[in-house]
Amino acid sequence: MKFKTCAAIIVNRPWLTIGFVALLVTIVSVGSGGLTFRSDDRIFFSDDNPELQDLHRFEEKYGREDTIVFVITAKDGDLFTPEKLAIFNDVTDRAWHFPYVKRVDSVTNFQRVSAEGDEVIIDHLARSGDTITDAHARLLKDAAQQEPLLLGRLLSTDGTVGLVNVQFWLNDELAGDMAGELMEHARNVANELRRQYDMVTIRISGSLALDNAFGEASARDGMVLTPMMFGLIFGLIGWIFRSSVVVGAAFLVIGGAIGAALGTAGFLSIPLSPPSVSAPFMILTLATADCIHLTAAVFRRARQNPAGDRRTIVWEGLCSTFRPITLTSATTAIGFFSLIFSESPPFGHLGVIAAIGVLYAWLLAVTVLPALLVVLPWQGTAHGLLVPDAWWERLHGVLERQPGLIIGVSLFVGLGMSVFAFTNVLDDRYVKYFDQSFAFRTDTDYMNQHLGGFYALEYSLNSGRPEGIFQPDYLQQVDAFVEWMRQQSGVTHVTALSDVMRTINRGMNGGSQAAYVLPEDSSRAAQYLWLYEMSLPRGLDLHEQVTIDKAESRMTVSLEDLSTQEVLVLAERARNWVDANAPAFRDSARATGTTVLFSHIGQRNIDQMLTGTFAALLLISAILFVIFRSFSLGGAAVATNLVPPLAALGGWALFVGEVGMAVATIAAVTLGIVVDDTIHFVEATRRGQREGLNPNHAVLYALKHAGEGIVVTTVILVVGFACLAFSGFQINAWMGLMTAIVIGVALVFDLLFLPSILIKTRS
Amino acid sequence: MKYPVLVLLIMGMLTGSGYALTPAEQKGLDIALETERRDKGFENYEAKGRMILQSPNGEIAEREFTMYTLEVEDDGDKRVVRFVEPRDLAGMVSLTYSHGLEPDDQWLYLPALRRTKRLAARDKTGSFAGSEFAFEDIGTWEVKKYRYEYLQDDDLDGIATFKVKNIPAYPYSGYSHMFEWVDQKIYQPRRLLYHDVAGRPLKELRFYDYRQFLGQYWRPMKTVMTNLQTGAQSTIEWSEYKFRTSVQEHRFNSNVLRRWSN
Repeated sequence: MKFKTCAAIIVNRPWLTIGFVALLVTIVSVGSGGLTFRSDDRIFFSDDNPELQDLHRFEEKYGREDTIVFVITAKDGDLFTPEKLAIFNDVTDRAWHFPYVKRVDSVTNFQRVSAEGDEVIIDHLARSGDTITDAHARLLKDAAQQEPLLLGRLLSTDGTVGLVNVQFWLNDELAGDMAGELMEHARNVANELRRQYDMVTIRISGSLALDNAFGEASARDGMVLTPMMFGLIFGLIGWIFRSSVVVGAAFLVIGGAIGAALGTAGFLSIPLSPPSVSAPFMILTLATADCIHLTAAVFRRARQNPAGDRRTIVWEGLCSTFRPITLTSATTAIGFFSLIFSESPPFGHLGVIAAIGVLYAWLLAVTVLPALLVVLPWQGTAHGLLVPDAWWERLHGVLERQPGLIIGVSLFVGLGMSVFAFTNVLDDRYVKYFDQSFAFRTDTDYMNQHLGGFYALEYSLNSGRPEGIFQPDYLQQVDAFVEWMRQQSGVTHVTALSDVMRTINRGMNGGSQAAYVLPEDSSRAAQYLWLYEMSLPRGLDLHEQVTIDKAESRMTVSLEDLSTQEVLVLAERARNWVDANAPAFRDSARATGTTVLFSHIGQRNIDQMLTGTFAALLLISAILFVIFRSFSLGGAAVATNLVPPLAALGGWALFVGEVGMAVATIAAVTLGIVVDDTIHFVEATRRGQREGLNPNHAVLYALKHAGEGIVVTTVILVVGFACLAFSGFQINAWMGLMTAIVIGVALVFDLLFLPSILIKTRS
Repeated sequence: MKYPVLVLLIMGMLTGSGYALTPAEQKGLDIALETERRDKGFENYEAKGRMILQSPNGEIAEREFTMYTLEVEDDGDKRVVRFVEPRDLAGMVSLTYSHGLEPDDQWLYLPALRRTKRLAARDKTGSFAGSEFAFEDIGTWEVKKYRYEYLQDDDLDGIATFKVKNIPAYPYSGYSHMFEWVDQKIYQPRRLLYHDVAGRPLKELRFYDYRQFLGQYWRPMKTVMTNLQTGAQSTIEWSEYKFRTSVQEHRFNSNVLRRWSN
């Protein structure tokens, strides 16, 4: 056999092997210098995502919505005192000095239209620099109650919580780069304000806070998970093999695989993003499995032949594990590669980096690792690694007595659980991606609870012709749509042109509330809006409200903390309402915005990943059929690995019940990983049969020879992926946890269901 | 001189506390005064403006108006803008009394309402008909609206200019300062660079194709305002300048604004 010659070169020329591979890995690792990191929320969407394209069209008309929001709460429950209004003005004035600032909306700079005889006064609710008395502040509080464009949007109805909403001029590129810098700026300002004023509390939210949290989540993953996982994994390796040499050798292999994978990613210009930063941790876990398989085989031979020649022992260990390690690496890589079908690019990136890492790990595990085991001094262990042989005999005894029953029970439980897999509810509330340890999460939850508005539906209502937004029909229908929206549960506020028009109309007609109606004709509406626009100060104009040709106007529907499914339902109902009631802008009433993007992404990802998962399944099944050269063996192997992901998702439905966009990737990823145990087991059974054992005894042989390796690697894999659950970033935490559960369930299937099938069908 | 140090000290204090102008400030002011002197005595003039608004992503909208300016001795000028296009704005008339440091007086006649409304907005930063021009930019210029500081002689596309820094002297301006390039030959602005309240470049105004009227008064045929932060652009093409028309002074009054409308 050809490989045996190669293996001989590896063990006979260990330094050459190490030097050659190390050089390759070093060269490739250089590429990691070119790695880029993207942390804005857009990274989750591919360029041809239809919702993203809708949003781009929307942003061409009204500009991007990049915001930092200061959430200011009066400790005594009343914002309308001279001191607190002055605080708002202070925050507002400071906000204007932020880099890239485009617009600042606050409680105090709200443009109030009032009337005095034939005089129309358009001015800030409370202008910076003006003296305000207690009595005046109370008057303003009453006046604010008459401003639907202020109340419920920038000011809570009870007058306790108010916002300073800062908007920036950024583009897709800048948003990711600047989020961190602008947030730091905002936090410094907030800290200064906290020192200066003790009568208010200040929190920070906004889309840039979200982008920044994505970045922070990744940094924190790196800081928390790296020591934790490296400590645990290498601790386990040390404990299993009782050898610091093995730990060191494994460290070189694993470190090399991670470095080379990141380097290749850098050369391929694959950007890192919050989900794909978990790739190194996955590589760490998967590479460990390779190291354990090889080292365990070498140790077993050393135990059987303590006086044997090191080179021969390593050579034998390498030859016996080369095929399974290669096959399992191939299937694992296929599983990860299939993530390129994902609708959401970060998962594709994660898949490609992890797959490349798995391949490098394979290369290092079959070259550098055996070479190191030749040149480094190590002492084998006297005993088996974890599980005494007697246990395997006991397990085999149970299996051979009742194989049919075990098959039946496993299938019944597995398929029974699988039924629930489809009861999981998709939810991608992106605030909830971050756990409570993130200030972004707690601050945004607070804002959503007291005011709402982090989640929103955006509409551009198109009248179909220039100046068309002034038509009475159009305005009346916008008005009716706004009213309908306000009656829907979950809607906290609606901003639209109709209220701007009503507000000006009131101001033009002496300021009485009876005049809070729409203007009667289109020229009146046009002239009112012109007057209003002319009076608004710079940075508070109507560019974000109406298009330049006055053909379309914007409607923003602020939402409570709704699930993304509820958001989709609301958007659909709104569309139906418009179809029936608003012919003036019927065709344009499609909701857009970041919330809508995230609401669709989960289902889109599932739709796309069905193809990816099917492709992975097909390829992996093909490999199984080819290597086993048996239809029944291959079939049994496929069945063994299809049930665990479904059963695990079923269990998830029972205990958690909620899944996010990452769920779609679970089946493909885990399929590639868990099939490894099956390959190891079936290969061992076939080896037993080649040695002349009957199928029943071949199964016992396999349990004894491969069982231990399977259990040990499964423990490592479960521990490794479960560590990801400690990520504060829900996508990574859930992905790790789900994968760990699937691998755990698959172990049970590999040790109970698969041997029973082999005993039952082959004897 | 017996106490040169003391004199220097006092001079320095005076300069620092604003009682005296530095040479650069004096030269800046001189340029402004010369600009004012050369443009004096036009009595009144009118011009047609066709304004083309272009949004950052290339959307285009147009406005058309006629502007009438009445020269007022010892106070700010009075200006009437009458809109022609778009149709919904046709007949709208605005009247502005420009003042130095006091807020301008502003009235608006709305034909749809057949009423004149006085606008009491203290901000002059509002957008002129949805364009990148703020009211502050379109209002008539008065020497005392700014403090000046001459910076240097500058060559602007082959034209010799004075580069001057203008700092708004009135409250509620939308700008911290602007740089102005004044043509050394005709004493008219060629370029203005506006900086926002945080001191960042905000907008650029360019003046093209100056023509002389009545052998004295220079007016541009095209002005282009570009928002440097967003890329939005507003161009005004000026035409039909008429000086010393028969328009009477009493028509620049809020009580008779409706008569401009037809």
